[in-house]
Amino acid sequence: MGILSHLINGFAVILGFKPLAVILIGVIIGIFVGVIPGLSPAMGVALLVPFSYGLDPLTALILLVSVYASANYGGTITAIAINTPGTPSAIVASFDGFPLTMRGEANKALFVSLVAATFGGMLGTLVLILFSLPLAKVALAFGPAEYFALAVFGLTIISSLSTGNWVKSLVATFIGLFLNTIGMDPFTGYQRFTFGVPELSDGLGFIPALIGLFALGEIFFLIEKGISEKVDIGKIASKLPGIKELKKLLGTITRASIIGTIIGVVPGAGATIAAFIAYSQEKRLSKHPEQFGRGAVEGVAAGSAAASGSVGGALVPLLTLGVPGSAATAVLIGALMLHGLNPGPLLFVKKAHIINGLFAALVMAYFFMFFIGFAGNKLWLKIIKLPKELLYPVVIAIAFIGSYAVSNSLFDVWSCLGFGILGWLLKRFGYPTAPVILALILGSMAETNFRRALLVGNWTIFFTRPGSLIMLLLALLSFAAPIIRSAKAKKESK
Amino acid sequence: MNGLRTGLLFLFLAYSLPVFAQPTPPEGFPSRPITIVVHSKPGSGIDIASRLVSRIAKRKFGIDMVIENRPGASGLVAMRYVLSKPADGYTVLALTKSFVSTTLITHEKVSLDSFYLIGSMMIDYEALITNRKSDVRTLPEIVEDAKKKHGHQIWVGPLVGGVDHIMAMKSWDVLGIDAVWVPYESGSDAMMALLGKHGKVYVGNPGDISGKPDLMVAAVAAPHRLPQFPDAPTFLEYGYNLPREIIWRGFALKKGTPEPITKYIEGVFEAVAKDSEWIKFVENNGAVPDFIPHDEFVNMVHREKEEARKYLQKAGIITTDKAAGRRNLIIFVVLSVIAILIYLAMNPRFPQLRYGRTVFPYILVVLSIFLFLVTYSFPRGKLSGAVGPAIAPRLWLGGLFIFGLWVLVQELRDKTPPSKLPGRKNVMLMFASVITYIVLGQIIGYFLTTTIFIFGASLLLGYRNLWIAALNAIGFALFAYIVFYRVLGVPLMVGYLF
Repeated sequence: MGILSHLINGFAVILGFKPLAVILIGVIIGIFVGVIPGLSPAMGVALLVPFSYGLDPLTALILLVSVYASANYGGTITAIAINTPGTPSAIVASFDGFPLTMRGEANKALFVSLVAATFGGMLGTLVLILFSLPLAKVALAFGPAEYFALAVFGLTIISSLSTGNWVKSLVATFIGLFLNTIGMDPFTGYQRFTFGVPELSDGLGFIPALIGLFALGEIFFLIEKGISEKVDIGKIASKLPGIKELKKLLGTITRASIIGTIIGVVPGAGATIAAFIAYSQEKRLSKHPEQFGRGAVEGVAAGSAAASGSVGGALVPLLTLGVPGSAATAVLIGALMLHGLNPGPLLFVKKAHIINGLFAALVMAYFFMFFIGFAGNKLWLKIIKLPKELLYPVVIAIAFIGSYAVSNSLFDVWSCLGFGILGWLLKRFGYPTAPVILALILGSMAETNFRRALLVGNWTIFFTRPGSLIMLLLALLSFAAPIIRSAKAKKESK
Repeated sequence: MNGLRTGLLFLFLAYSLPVFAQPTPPEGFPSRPITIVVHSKPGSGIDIASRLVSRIAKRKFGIDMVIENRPGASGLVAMRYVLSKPADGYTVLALTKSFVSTTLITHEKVSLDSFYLIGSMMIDYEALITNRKSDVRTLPEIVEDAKKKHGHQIWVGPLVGGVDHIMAMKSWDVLGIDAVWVPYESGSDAMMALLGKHGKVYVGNPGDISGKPDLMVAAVAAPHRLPQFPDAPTFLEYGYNLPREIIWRGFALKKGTPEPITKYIEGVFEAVAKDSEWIKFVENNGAVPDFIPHDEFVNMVHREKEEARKYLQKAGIITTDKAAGRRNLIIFVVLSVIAILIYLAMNPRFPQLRYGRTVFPYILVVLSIFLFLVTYSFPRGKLSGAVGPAIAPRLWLGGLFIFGLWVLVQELRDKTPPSKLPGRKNVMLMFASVITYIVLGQIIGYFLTTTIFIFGASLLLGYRNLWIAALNAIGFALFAYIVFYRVLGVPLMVGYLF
């Protein structure tokens, strides 16, 4: 009851012309920020901080949160339409979304992503309102050993991402893991593999890598394959999934949203890892896992729902502990401080109307996102229908805006091209590209926490802490299961 | 009468002094916006502070200041960027105390001596922070626990060699204890570790505990208790001589900027530092709005540099190994020659040797051997316990070598010739035009090059309607200009011409 009254009080605060207009503007900006590769949700929020300065604290917070809430969905639009994830978490939506587009079912993929993102976001908000205190304990229990185990568990997902040759998947994984070690070693300050190039000292940029591998690599590959073979996207593009089909997805979306919210709570894990884990989970549960990666709507739904759900999760440590749960919430903290608000548990007591308003604004933002997204999908479909000869150069130009925008550096543009060529090579020789990205995300998390754990304790720490032990066992299981299963299948077929 | 007049004149002077203290701009300055270069991403502490400076400067003096984020290499990228600009007062560097360590650790010849330090705008006292719910809370408890643990007490904070790490080493000296420094990616990650009891002491600033009732300040390195934190005791109160350890945030110009401009900008920043909006912002952040003027600032930075050098050497962070670079080059050349010889010596009767799918894993294998050898020039793990910086790369490169070799064997066994793809020439042409695009972008700017590139590339890919191709290119460039550049404020490549 208490919680319900919070939400009602919250709605009382935001149900006015100004707050609603601010949410609407925030959602539109958020979707745009998501659509542009290189503008991550965190950067989108950061770009608006100066504007929000002139607003009152609640309105400012509502604006920033609306941008954050809708950016993850925005990212899936470009991921589905042109295989260019607009936000890192949208990579997962591209696995099946882009094949769907190539098959002429872009409208369906976009709609499923929108429904999943809306549902995931709302569920994440609900979890945030109901369970933020117990979830904060989960975040606190994560020490170096647990983070290491989580990273290892995450890496085992590659065994479920690979579609053919698992040796090639491993090669791709090790390429990603190695690329991750380039740059300054956080423990000694030593420059590893930088060969005197100062731009490398922070490591290779993740966004240029992402855009290069996926967008450019794919375009180069498609150009080489010959642009003439055309798919008539316009023909079936207008078909939306029916109620029956959506009902079938309900289980997937709910599970993925919950996974997303819980992973989102753990600082440093975030939307992208959440989306990957939800995706591999759904593939494992699916009756037709072989369709994943070739255009399974469940894949799109799982990725979008988990990424969106992680937003509510990431706000848990912010509100209960006063520490950020993601890059975007780190910027939110800066913005709150600018307004003289100190994020943390005392905010609930001292400025309850702001917290309540925030909850209500999140719900409202997802509500608006659904309708704006629905209207917007028609526009995106028009873009997909552009002839490829015109679309590809535009995608390359956007990719370079995105890479450059991350840190105003031309080096990132070159590295985006480098990753594009790597992606093209991998694709044409039959290596999957997703493991490279997964390894880039998880590599440093695994390494730094492994070393940190050994600074704190000795080797036994990974097995004496229950959380770490459970996750390591799960990792072993999740890595071995697909290989054993395929080996068994081989034996039987003989 | 005379006395009254002198009195009035005195009063007039006294009241008008602040007016006289207003900086007077030199002739024709500034004629365009002044850029403040920030070394971190939008939304960080110093970024927000710089944006506020720009806001106040606009209100008070009508000066336009824009913020440009040049993150990377702990501030080196921003410093080099400012040094690459003319010393005309139009480019200001925002800097923090961490730059002192940065310039010491780097092998590059970038020094704070190349800058004219305008002044420090705000200071933060350093503090030891503990978890109220743990068994180690106060400074005496920290000392007692540390002695019991014989150097195994865990201290957490941001990166190795940074300001907080140096503060930790300094306080170990003063307290007469020894402990382990466990670095985290950021201060807030480290704070999370303290909240989760994965460490005993966090090194940061008193403002870090605002809004977090579970955290408390064990000791602050300030000369007296801070008014915003009356419950936080000082080191001095416990009898430890650590009276003033601060982090500052300030601004600098490239050395050689004409004196009238330097003086004017100095005056502007000093006036901003004394503005009530600025003071309120600093206090909201739990910091102290003290302005440290040029002379005092320079002396302070000089002292800090010597002190940082001492502690960084003690921690084994500053090393002098210049031979590694040349050694790596020799390894690379020798290995490439051997690799090419082996490849040529292999039996030319296998046509599959020439296939790209075989050459690719071959290159991966050779590269992994070379990079593995490079790891032998890495320092041993003095700061990281059992596991040094070379272990993870060796593990990953070992994996790449083994599985790369495996794929190589697979590809050699596969005798089917690769299918000829129709667009090979197009891809090569595309690479060439993309490279031209990036190079040209630096010279004539994003918009013009993008228009040319999109138009040209569409034709290259076989599009034949010139008008629509041109419309598409111009349309996108306009869209990029309006939506990305104007509305969203996304930075775009700026060429020498545009």
